[in-house]
Amino acid sequence: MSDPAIHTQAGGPSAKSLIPEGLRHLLADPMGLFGLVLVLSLVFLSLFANVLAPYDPAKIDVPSKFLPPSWDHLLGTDELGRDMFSRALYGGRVALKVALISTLVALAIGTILGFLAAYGPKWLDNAIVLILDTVRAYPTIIFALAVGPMFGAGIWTVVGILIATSVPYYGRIVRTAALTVMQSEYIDAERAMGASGLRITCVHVLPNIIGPMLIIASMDIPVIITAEAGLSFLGVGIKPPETSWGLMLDQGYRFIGRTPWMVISAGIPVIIATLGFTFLGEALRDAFDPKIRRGR
Amino acid sequence: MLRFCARRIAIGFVIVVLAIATIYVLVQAAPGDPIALMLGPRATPEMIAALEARLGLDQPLPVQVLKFLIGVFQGDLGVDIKTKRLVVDEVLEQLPYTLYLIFASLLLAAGLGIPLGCFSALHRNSLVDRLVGILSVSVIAVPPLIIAIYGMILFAVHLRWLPAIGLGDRGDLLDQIHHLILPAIAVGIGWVGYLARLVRAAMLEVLNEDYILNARAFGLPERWIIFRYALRIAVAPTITVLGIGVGYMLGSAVFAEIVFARPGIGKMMYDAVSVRNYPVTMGVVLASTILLVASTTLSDIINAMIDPRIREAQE
Repeated sequence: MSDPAIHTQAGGPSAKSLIPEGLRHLLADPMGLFGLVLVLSLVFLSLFANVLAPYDPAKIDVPSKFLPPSWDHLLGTDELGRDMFSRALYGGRVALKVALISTLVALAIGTILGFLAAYGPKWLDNAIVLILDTVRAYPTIIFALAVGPMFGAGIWTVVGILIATSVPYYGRIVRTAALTVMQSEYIDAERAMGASGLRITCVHVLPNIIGPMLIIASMDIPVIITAEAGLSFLGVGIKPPETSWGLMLDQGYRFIGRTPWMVISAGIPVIIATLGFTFLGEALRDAFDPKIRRGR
Repeated sequence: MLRFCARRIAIGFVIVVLAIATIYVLVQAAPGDPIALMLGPRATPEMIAALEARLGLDQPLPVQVLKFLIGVFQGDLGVDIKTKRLVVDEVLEQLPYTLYLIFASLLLAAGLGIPLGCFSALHRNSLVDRLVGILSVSVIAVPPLIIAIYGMILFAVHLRWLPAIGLGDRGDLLDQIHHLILPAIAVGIGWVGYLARLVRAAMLEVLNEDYILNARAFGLPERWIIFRYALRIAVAPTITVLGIGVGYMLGSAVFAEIVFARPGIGKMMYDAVSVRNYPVTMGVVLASTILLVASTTLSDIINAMIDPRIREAQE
C-alpha cells in the first residue's frame, strides 16, 4: 500500500458545503450504502451486546457443545457449549475498541511527527523520516510476534503494537501533505502578510489535511481489525477470559478436525467487519474527495 | 543513476541495522524477562546466571547490542536454544520455503491482476468491469487468515480438490506446486485485487493521454496501441506496490504456513515465540527485515530506471 496522495486544494469548495453533497454521493453509491449498513449494524450489535446477546457468552453448557448453526444458536456453539453468536457480539466490542483507539492515537502521533518533520530543521526531518522508515521495515505480524510476548498478551499490548506499526504510515503521509500545502501560493501570500508559522499551521494547513487523513484512517480500520484478529489467533493478542474474534478463530481452528462450523462461524464477524469498513471507506473517499468525484 | 542506487542501498543498510538494534533493545528491555521465561519457574539463580553469561546478557545493554550487530555481520546469529544448532543455518534452511510461497503469490497477483485490470479498463462500466471492481475490494478486505481457513475447508476438506497440509513430495515438482496453490491464493488474492484496480485506473488515465490519441489518429492498430504503449506505462506503478507488498505478504505467510502446516520462516517464528526461543526470533526478524527493505529498495531503483523524474526528485 503506497502512500495515497492527499488532495490538498486551496480555494476549492469549503468543507461545509462539501458535507451534505458528499453525504448525498455516499448514499447514492450502492456499495457505500451496503458498507454503511454493515458498519452501523456491527456498531449497534457490539454496543448493546449485553442486551442483545441471547446467552451469557461465558456460560458453559457441555452437553450442547459443537452444535452447528441453528435458530437457537445462530453461529453454533464451541467446545464448551458456549454460544458463538453471543461471544461474537462481545468480540465485536473488543475489535471496535482496539480499532478506534489504535487508529486515533496513531493518527494523532503521526500528524504531530509529520508536522515536526515538515516544518522542523533539516536534521529533525531526516531523523524523523529515518525513524519512521525503520519502524516500517518490520512486517507487522513478525514485529508483533517478536515484541508482543515480552509485554504479555492483552488488549493494551495489541493496541501498542498496532499504534507503533501504523504511526509511520500516517507520519509519512502528513509530512508529504504538509510540504505540499506549504508550497502553495496562498500560504506564500499569508506569509507575506506576516502570519506566524503557528497560525498558518492551525488555520490553513491542518484543516486542509485533517479531512483526507480521517478518510485514510477510516480505510485503515479493516487493516487494524484484521491485525487484531491475527494477533489473537497467534496467541499474542487478546487473552481469555476476554473474547475476541481472533481467539474464536484460534479455538475453531484447533477443533477443525472435529467440526468445521466453529471456525467458519468465527470468520463471519471478521468478514462482515472488514467488508463493511472497506466498502464504507472506499465510498467515503469517493464521496468527499472532489478530485475523484469529478473524474467519474 | 549509480549515485541514486548507492544512496538507496546505503539508506536501506542503515535502516536494517537500526531495525535490528531496536528489536534487540525492545526484547531485552521489555518487562518480561526472557531468561526466566526460557528456564521456567523452577530455575535456580545459578542456572539463570549461567545462561545469562552464556548468552552475554550479563553485560551492559549497549555492549550487548554492539556484540550482537558484530555477530550479525560475521554471519553469527547465535545458537537455537532448543536444537542447539546455529540459527543462521536454520533460517537459511527455512527461508526458501517462504520465498517460494511469496514468489508464487507475486506471480498470482501479477498474472491475474494485470490482465483483469487491463480488461476492466478496456470494457469500462461493463458488467465484468463492475464485477471485477466489487470483487477486488472484497478480496482486499478479507484477511488472508480467513481466506486460508475457508479455502482449506472448502477446497481441501469438502471438495477434496487440493491437498490440505504440507509441502508435497520431495522431488515431485507437480505435487509441490499442487500443495502451493491454496497457500499462494491465501497470501496473494488480495494483491490480485490491488493490481486489478491499480492497472485499471492507470490504464484509463494513459488512454486519455495525447500521444495515445495521436497514435490512434495515425491509424495504428488498437491492439498495438494498447499492448505496446498503454500497458507498458500502466504496469509501472504495480512495481512499487509489489515491492511494498512483499512486506505484507511476509506477514500473511505466517498465517498460511501455520494453517497449511508448511515449513518456512513464519512457522519457525511462531514455534520459536511459543517456547521463547529468542535467538531464533531475532534471526527471523533479521531475515524478514532484510527481505522487506531489499524489496522496497529494489522497487525504488526499478522505478527510478523507468522514470527519471523520481530519480531527480530524490537527488
